[in-house]
Amino acid sequence: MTTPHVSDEQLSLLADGELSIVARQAVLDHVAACPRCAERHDKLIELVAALRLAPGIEWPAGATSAVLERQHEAASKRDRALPLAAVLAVAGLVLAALSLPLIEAGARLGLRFGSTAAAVVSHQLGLSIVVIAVVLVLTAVLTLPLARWR
Amino acid sequence: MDAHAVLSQRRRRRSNRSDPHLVERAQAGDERAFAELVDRYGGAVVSLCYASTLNVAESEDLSQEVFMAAWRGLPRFRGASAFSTWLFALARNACVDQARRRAVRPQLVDDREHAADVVDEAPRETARAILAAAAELSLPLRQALLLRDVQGLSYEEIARVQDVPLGTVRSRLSAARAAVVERVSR
Repeated sequence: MTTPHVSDEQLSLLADGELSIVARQAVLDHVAACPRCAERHDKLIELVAALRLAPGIEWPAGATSAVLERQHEAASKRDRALPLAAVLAVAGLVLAALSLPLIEAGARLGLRFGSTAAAVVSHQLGLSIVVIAVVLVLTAVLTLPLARWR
Repeated sequence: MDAHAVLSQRRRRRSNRSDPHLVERAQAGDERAFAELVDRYGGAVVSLCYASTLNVAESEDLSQEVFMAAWRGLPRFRGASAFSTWLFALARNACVDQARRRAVRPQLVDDREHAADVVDEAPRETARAILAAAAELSLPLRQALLLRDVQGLSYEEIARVQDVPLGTVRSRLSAARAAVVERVSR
């Protein structure tokens, strides 16, 4: 009867010293008697040893300060975003409010002097202002998520 | 108060305050409490990011983004899990997003000043070849391998960072090592 080869996981745990005493001895006995598993074991040990020579990484000195600095920058953007959104929204609403009397005035001019050209120009101007107002309000709405950040 | 002032004041009053206490203070806007959390978990987060990207500069930047996201997300953190569990989930998601953005396997960049500390050139070359093979692994396997063998985390620490049972850490590590041995031997 042949002894089953040790698994990759058993060899890996052996390399890390994570096997129980009994399991460790059983794996070592098998490795000592089996050239194939001995080769696998040697390659694994070489791999682990080589990786442990690779320089690791640590949380750098000053990195915590950098995080705080970036937070302050984000907060500063937020602080600017809220007034900007408010100004855009107010400007949009004021323009929208002004556009309606402009359209009405154009219509009255047209009726009084029989000039359809004045009415059309005034109407078009009023519509253009409405479009600008809508764009301003939408921009204000899109700016708000920036302001919600801490 | 600028960041340096916050840090020096924090160092003077270094304490062993618990995570929940620090989180509560940070949620109230206390930057010193948050800085203490960053110091406490910075090593684990940057290790995870490095194990994902294999690039020092990128991993440092990514880990800073993780802490920025943590700061923004703190008001929504209700303590259903430990802070570290929540933070490591943010870090893992950031690593996955970063990998998607690049849409390619990480390229090994030897931008570490302390790489020169490895006196003998031959082992360093071997380590580079192994890391290049590790770059071909799936993200969870690569993370497990580097967290253990380069960063020196214990199985328990890896289980916490990856939020998986110990058995999964064992199997990921052995699969990663076997795959790298296979690739390097070719």
